[in-house]
Amino acid sequence: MQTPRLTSHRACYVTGVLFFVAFLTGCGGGSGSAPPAFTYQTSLGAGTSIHVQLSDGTPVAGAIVQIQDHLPEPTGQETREELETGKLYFHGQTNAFGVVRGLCKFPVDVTTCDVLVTSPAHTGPYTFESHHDFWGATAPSARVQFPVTSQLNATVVVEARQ
Amino acid sequence: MRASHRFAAALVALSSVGIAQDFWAGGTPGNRPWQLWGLEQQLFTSSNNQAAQHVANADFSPNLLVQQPTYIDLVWMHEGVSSANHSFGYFTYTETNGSVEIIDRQLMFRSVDWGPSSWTSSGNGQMLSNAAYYLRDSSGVRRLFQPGERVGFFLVYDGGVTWAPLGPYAPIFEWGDPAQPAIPSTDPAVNDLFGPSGGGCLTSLVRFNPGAQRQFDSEGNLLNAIDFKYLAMTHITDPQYRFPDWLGGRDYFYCGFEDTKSPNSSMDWNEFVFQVSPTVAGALDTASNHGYANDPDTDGDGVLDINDHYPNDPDRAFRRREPNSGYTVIGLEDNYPEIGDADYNDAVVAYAFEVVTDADNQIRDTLGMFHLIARGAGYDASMGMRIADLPIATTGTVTLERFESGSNLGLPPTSVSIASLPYEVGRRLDDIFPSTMAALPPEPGSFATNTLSSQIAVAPASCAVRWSFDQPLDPVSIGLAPYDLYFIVKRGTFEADIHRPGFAGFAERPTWLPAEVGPASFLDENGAPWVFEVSTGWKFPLEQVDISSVYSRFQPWVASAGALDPDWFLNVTQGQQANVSGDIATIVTPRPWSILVR
Repeated sequence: MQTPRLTSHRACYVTGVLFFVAFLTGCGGGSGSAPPAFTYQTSLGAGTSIHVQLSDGTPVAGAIVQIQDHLPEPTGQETREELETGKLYFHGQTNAFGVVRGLCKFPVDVTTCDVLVTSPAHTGPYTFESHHDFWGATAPSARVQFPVTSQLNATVVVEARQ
Repeated sequence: MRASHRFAAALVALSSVGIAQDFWAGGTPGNRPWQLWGLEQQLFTSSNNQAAQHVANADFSPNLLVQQPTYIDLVWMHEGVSSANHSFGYFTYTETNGSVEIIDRQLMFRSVDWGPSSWTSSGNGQMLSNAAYYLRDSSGVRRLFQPGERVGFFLVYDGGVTWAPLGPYAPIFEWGDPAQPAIPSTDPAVNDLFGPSGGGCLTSLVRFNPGAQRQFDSEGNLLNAIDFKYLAMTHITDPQYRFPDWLGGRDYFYCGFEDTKSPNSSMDWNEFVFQVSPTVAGALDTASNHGYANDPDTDGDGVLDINDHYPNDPDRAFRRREPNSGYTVIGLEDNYPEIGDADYNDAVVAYAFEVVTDADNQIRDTLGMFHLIARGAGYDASMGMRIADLPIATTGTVTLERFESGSNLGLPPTSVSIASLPYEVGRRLDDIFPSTMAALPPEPGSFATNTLSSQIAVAPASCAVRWSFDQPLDPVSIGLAPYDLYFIVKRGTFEADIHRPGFAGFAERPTWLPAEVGPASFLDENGAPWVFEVSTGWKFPLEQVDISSVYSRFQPWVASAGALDPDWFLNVTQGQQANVSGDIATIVTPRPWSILVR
């Protein structure tokens, strides 16, 4: 099990609001019919469980959650088109418990991904705040980087927009 | 007046061609309320935006119809074009008995780019975020629109490119030159090629727009109208999103422009985001426009219409393609159980899946789209799929639609019930391609098809298989597409089912064949698979070309049981390009398949 912790560095000092992204664990399995010991795969099936909640633990229902290609920090040389070429691996909505679960499939050369949360009434953390700046109001509420593992468990903490 | 606007106004006086007027209204509509940030995110989120697709749906018009005299104001909200400086304007038109005539065209912004003093240092255009503009006529007077007038909008891709003689505020490329066509044109072909970089003129009218190949049904209805909807527009009337200090509390339309011609569009409609608002309440006939109301959920499934791929179907909410773009490919070596010539081209099939889930993320449909693109085999084979672990009590329907090689007309779909399919650790469908040889007949003088040179001689044959389940299925319980894809090779005296490693052989296989169970199933004595799955980055070896000779990392991958070089298929060995196929993604014939509501 690994527990990397990610925070939105720029968001913290720009907005003065501390966001916390809880945890990610790798615990294997969950890829369906192929036996877990099988290693000839040229892609990786991953179970996903994404929680969206407020800092006091209140679940955020109805948030759209996507898992896309990881977008590195822009160098300033990229075009918008280049920044928008990321692939979508998962698309769902949080339930009354603020949770969405499913499966997604990553190519073997994809080692990190971004979890995007879109909830119009909320703002949240960004791994790279420059992404938030770039898309302005059309940016999702949160975009956080995670490593790709066979079981992607993540909690994204957001706060009410005001 | 900002310096840029004074400069623009000066150009109007200096040039003989129709340079745009200064449309700036001299202020802002107020302080942008925080609620608008959330609404704009809801409507025009960057990338993979279902909400904008919903608003841009072909059923809704992104044009204005005037029914009472009114001025119309425009507020720029966001510009996100980093690689070009587009031009933007409006036009008026009439529509009579289905015939459209453009009456007037006005260029509002030669360069829709942030102004020099905005947050981005690279901005060299005229746009002021949060600034109000008037729609004016050709004399620069604020225009009073009259009943019956229809108003559309257009952009010219990179039309605001800097012209050295006049600097960054140069007139749009050839705009107003009598020798050039009037833009926007009523001819899509003219709009297609206009502009300095050929990016075209894109409008709010589908019929004028260039883009992807148009697809029609038998009654002449445009099937892919969404590919030509470059403007998404929704009418905001909900009190929750109207504010006294924003446009004086008036109603408005939130609009987003997609700036790139289909099929290469990002389909997020957020390259330009702006609002338009009539100054007279009720002056526009909004019956054909999309109307945004708070929390509409027509089918009651808990997913807002605007986020719902199927807003009228309570059993379906989200759709996802796998892979997101391109295809996955399987290659077959058919000499099982013996080691073959290792060219892995005995059957080459490219495929993609669409998976439809409900509001609880349970699977309702899965659609496999298969393209048999090469057959380098002397043996005939069939190809099938098994959804392993599918509960035996699962009911529903499997529908198949085929396109024969070279045909653009699909054969009539056929359906079977899921319960009628053989059950063996999941349901089996043996006849995606009942005969690879019949689907891809041999090239003249050869037993093979499309494996003799890098050029494709015979167009692919295609088959779509849609599994629709009566009950929602837990995605974890049935696993990921493509599930268990297999071939049944007809060897004359026997038939052998061949699967990818890790899947089990069928019970009816000849008893003298290997049992094929467990993680090491379907691996030859050297540890190589008979069937593998890769992406369209792979180019398959030509006839009798050993895969190890064209992919140097294949053997390390095999020798390590897949632990090393899992992306071995992405790089052809230097000097071996002549011994592999062309780009598989370009070989596949696109078919109009999707579990899609358009």
